[in-house]
Amino acid sequence: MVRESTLMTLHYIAAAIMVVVLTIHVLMHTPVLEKGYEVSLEYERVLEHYNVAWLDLAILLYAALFHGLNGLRVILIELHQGPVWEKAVSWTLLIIGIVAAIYGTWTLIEVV
Amino acid sequence: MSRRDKVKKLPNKGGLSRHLNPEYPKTEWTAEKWAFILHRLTGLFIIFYLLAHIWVTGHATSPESWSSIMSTLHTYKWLETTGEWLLWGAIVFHGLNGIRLILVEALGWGIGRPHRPIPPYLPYSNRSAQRPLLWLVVALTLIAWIVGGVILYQDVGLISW
Repeated sequence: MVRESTLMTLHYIAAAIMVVVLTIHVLMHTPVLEKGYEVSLEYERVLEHYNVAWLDLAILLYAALFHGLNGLRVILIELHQGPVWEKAVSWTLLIIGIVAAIYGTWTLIEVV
Repeated sequence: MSRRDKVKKLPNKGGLSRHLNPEYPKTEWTAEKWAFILHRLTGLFIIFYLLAHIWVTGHATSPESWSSIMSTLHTYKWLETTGEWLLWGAIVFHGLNGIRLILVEALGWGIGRPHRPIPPYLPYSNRSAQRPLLWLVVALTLIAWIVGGVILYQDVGLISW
């Protein structure tokens, strides 16, 4: 099992990475890097986004899933304590994370 | 028996049920506590959005599935855009407050060194650099949320000036 302090360090590191990566991702749907939000959702624009920024999206996918699900885990094990509950929470969120990561990776590979 | 001894005798139970225990020590409703609660609520909102977002963007594999999921989302345009605006506010607050937490919690910046508490005293953490930093986070969040909202609602054609 991974130590809590290690997970928390990774939580901060993922957050710092996301400050950069998520900023780029959001700006690609604003007039800063695009014509506008509505235009950026047209299919051809979406395809171009995937092809230009696939690395940004991949990093964002893994960092955000880890950061988000670990945050949810911290909230859930603060609400209630106990070995069964903590194991159930960890494994459920790990499975959700792996499934979402595989699905996101599949989307990236299919589109790019 | 003093209050301190009573608290010492309590079983070490955490969780939400601690609030039902009248003996459980109360903490003050400071600005940092509100920031903590908002940070968790916005975080919960964003993680559930993220899972939905991964599912929705999975439709980008073909033009047909993309246009069908987009038209489904556009069914209630006002609801969709308002959700996006709330999401924008949640992300800006969570991100800026998260930068504050990296500085204050992870790097220990602006909270001072431990010192002997000689009463009456105000904790150093309540008069140090981290408090103005929180007001900066609140101010920047409000500005970005309102400006972003105007740009967003104008872009999708729900308001026009």
